[in-house]
Amino acid sequence: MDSTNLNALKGSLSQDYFSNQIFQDECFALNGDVKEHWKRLLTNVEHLTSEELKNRQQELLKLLEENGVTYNVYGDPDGLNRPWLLDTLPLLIAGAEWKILERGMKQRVTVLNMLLEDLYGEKRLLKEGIIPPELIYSHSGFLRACDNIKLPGKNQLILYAADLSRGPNDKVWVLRDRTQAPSGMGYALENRSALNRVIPELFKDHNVNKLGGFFNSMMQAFLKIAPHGKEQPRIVVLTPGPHNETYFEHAILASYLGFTLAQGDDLIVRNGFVWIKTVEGLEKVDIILRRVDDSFCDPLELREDSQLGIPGLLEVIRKGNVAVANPLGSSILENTGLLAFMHNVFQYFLKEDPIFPMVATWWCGQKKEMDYVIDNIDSLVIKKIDRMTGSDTWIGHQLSKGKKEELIRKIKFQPSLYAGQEAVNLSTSPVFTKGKLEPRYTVMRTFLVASEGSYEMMPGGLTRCSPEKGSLIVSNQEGGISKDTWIEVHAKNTDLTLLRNPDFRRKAVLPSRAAENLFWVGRYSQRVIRTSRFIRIVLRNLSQTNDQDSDAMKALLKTVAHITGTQDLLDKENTEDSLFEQLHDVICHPATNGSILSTVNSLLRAMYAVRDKWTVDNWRIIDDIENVKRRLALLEPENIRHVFPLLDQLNLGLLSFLEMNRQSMYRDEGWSMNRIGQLLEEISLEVLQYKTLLTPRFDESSESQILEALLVSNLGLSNYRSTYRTYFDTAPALDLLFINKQNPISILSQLEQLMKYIDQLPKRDNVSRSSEIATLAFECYSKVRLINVDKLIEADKNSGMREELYTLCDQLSTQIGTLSLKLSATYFSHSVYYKQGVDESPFEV
Amino acid sequence: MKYRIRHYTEYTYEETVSTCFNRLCLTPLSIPQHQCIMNDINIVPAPDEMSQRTDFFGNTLTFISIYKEHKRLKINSTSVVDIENRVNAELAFSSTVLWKDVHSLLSGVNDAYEIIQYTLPSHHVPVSDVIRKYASDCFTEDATLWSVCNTLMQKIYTTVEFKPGFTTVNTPVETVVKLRKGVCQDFAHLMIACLRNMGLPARYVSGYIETLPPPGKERMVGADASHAWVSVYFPSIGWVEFDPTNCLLPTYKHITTAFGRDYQDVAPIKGIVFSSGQQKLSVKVDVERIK
Repeated sequence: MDSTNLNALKGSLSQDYFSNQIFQDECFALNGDVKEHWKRLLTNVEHLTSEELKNRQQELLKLLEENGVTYNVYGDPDGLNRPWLLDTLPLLIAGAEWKILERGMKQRVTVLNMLLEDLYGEKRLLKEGIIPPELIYSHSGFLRACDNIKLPGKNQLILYAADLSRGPNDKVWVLRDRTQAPSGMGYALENRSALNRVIPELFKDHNVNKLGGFFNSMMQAFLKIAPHGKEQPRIVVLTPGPHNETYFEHAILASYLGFTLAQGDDLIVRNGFVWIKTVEGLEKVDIILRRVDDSFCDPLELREDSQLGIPGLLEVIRKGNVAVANPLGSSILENTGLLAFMHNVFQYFLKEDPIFPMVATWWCGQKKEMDYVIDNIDSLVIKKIDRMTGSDTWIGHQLSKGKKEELIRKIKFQPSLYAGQEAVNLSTSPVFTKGKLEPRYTVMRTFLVASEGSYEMMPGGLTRCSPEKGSLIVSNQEGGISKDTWIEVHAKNTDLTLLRNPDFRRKAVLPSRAAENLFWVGRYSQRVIRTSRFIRIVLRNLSQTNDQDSDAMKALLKTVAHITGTQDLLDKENTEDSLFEQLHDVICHPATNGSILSTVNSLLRAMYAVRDKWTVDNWRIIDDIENVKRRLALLEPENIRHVFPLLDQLNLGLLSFLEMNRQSMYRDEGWSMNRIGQLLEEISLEVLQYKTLLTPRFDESSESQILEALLVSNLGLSNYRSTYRTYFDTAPALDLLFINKQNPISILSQLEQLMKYIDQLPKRDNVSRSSEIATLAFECYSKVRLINVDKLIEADKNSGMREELYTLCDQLSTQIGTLSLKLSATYFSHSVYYKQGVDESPFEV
Repeated sequence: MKYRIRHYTEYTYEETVSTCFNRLCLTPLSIPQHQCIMNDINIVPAPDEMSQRTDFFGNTLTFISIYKEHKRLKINSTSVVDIENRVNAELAFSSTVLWKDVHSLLSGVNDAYEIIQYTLPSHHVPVSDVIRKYASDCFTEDATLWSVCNTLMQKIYTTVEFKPGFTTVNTPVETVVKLRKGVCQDFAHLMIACLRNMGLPARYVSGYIETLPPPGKERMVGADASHAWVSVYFPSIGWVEFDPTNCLLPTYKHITTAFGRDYQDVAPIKGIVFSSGQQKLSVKVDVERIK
């Protein structure tokens, strides 16, 4: 160890580190010396130099953003998909300490597992007064409907997480338990792989334990609870959906473990089993890894207002036909008041003291304890026993007099719902920010998974640090910074046994919802591409002409309204805005239905909803689209000319997205749905354009202006020039746009493609419906195939309209619309449900 | 006394229902002095799945699933129940236990860990100052539990008017205090709320009551209704029932279907319907004395 280096480091990086820091630090001893197990890491950091570390920090955040690693914050307008923050420095845990941690956490989860089994079984702890029954009955997590339900095997808790911190006396404390749907292990995995990729130099001379083995054990743990010992169970991850705070994690866990990602209404109960709705029909589900809170899982027997669950699930669980982990009802263990009694619970089950103490806690449901909490409120943190949100936590000494009195009133009103806890001092660890190290309060989350009646701990974890210097709040909701967590111990299986997915030989299923979202990604992306291209040309024409009232201009503006479904721009009665202002609205106004921005928003929602389908490169593009979207939203009407580069960027992005898919997407039903969505959108937008622009017969100069615009917007200009002549005429243009098979976007070519993809869709039990869809496509195709261009261009002498062309476009529009509706009725799930019964009282005695 | 009870429920749906799941709580309890001799639940359309289980409170629940399209659902439950009498009320009459001592006496009771839950708030029974204020004059310093229960029942009976149509299943009990109108469910929830807000264990009873036709008139079939009343725990005696809607102590005319913390636990029919659109409900109950 070169101590001069370390001293230099202390000079540059950690200047002022201790100026407002007196607590325990993970890395530095109180005299400023670097702790032994951090020395190699800091040397590696020193070799990199602070400048380089800064660069890598940028790179790291960029990588995470591009990988789509996000954490959603409820109630924050920009909260959806907030980027995940990762520090360049990991947290190191010394090997010897790790061994103790492992022993302590195994002891703790063992006790919690026994407690859970007892609360929903014999209830000895309640009968014998080890835990006051009120504490259990007052907690919303005690679900009576789950009484006496057991998972096969010895472990009821399959997954467990705990937040740990270190107090001033070097002792490790348990801050809280996470038992119902512990989150964070996916982020831990992502942190490790990002850090490893961006700053491999840090890992020099270290032998950091890998995380893969833990996930392998997780797979094994799930296989163990398969109903009736089934050998190749189908496992789904049940997520509340893209708006959930940790949706990113649900998606990556699903794809890492090879499980299917599903939302409540992707699943349905039939004949005593749970099934997943796929484009091919119903497939049986054996195991559910749930990330939906337990009371939301079955509206029949639990919260009846839930739309996130599966009606009838509990009866299937009771029959033993599906296993849910963690079991429903396990949130009772997250009861803050329980911490006051855990010491006795350890003694009761194991005749041992807990290896790690927990935060001193007083449950207000007991008179003496309530009085203590009220008398000492200034030194305590008050919590509701039900964990709801951060707003259910009060730090006593930070409350104003009025707020304190209000809180005391609340406690006295319903004492059993509150608990007071000793305010704990967290230790700090160094976070690299603005070119130097800063001490930040630190909490580490550890993860355990059931294993053969015992538990296995992840050799790593998710460390989170406070967002601000000196702030004690450490949570993702408040914008914390995460750290990779390094353990270096000799474990029995450090090598990575390949993850064996029980599903691997079986064909993957495509849930109906995923199919639907892929379909809409197709439709919306083409809608954005086509409409923005067209509007762009109209804008150009408009800025080059002095005559806004020419026939050609009017027809083009009308088409903008038709293809976007927005208000007619020439309808002067409804607005005083100039045409430019109105066009700005059609592009940039998110609340205008059909505007490009609102379509981009719908597109992004559909993309996020199937986030497990996109490659890393695609995420990069989606990130770009997000950026363009933000800039479009900020564009002022007077700067409308700046919209051109933005629309170009949007178009290029989407085209490369589609091309990337073409190269990388597995050719399954999902691909077909995506292509069908694109084709339906393209055909219907083109037909609409042709109907509005080519049906009326204009004078020659208007007609040629319109044709030029159409050909440019539909990329046919050079094809036209090379195939036909140099001036614009309607007949050859119709030939090119409708029936020329060498033109890939002629209506005929596209209908041919459409028939091909429809043919590849799975035939559903409802055969007549599937064939109806194919018939509709074929009808459109033959109609176009039989076009006689000479007849199409004939205009009625009186009206000046090309009646035949009008009828053709009109029929095609209707049929394509019907086809889309039938497709969605056949392949996508649209189950709506409500609760039985009416509000009027049935009682009249 | 033997009764035949017919409880007919019919849902009519505006739109076709593709699937439904229902939880029925329609099977009368079998307990000492109160035997359910027969219970038959007939459902149209015939359910694809049907199972029964005993719930957390000891009631019999029936689960049914229907996977065929339907626009109407009929649930007909027929039961025969034999009731001897309720003895606890007579014992309670001479009980000298003061209401203030009940909570401390509970700790000595065998099933205390279960009884405790009936002292706590629940879905329809909140902790409430409005309720405490309403009830306070019934809870005099040295009153016995027995006299408190009777005074309270009397008070509810005289201050709240029995009037259908003013409240729904979800009307908060505090609103009932303001309206001073309600049906048996509201009477029961109000009495339970008063007792629990004073720390006493009280539970909700759902069932039926035999009604007698006005003198000289024929008994009308199907004109009865389901009923709800209250059960209060008396240390060393057990659960004692009170009917605040009629201001009487249930004897052999009250037929019990289920016990729970409140209506939420023992709703006769609870379900999820896969459909869009409205539904209409009609309920007919007939309680017929057969011996």
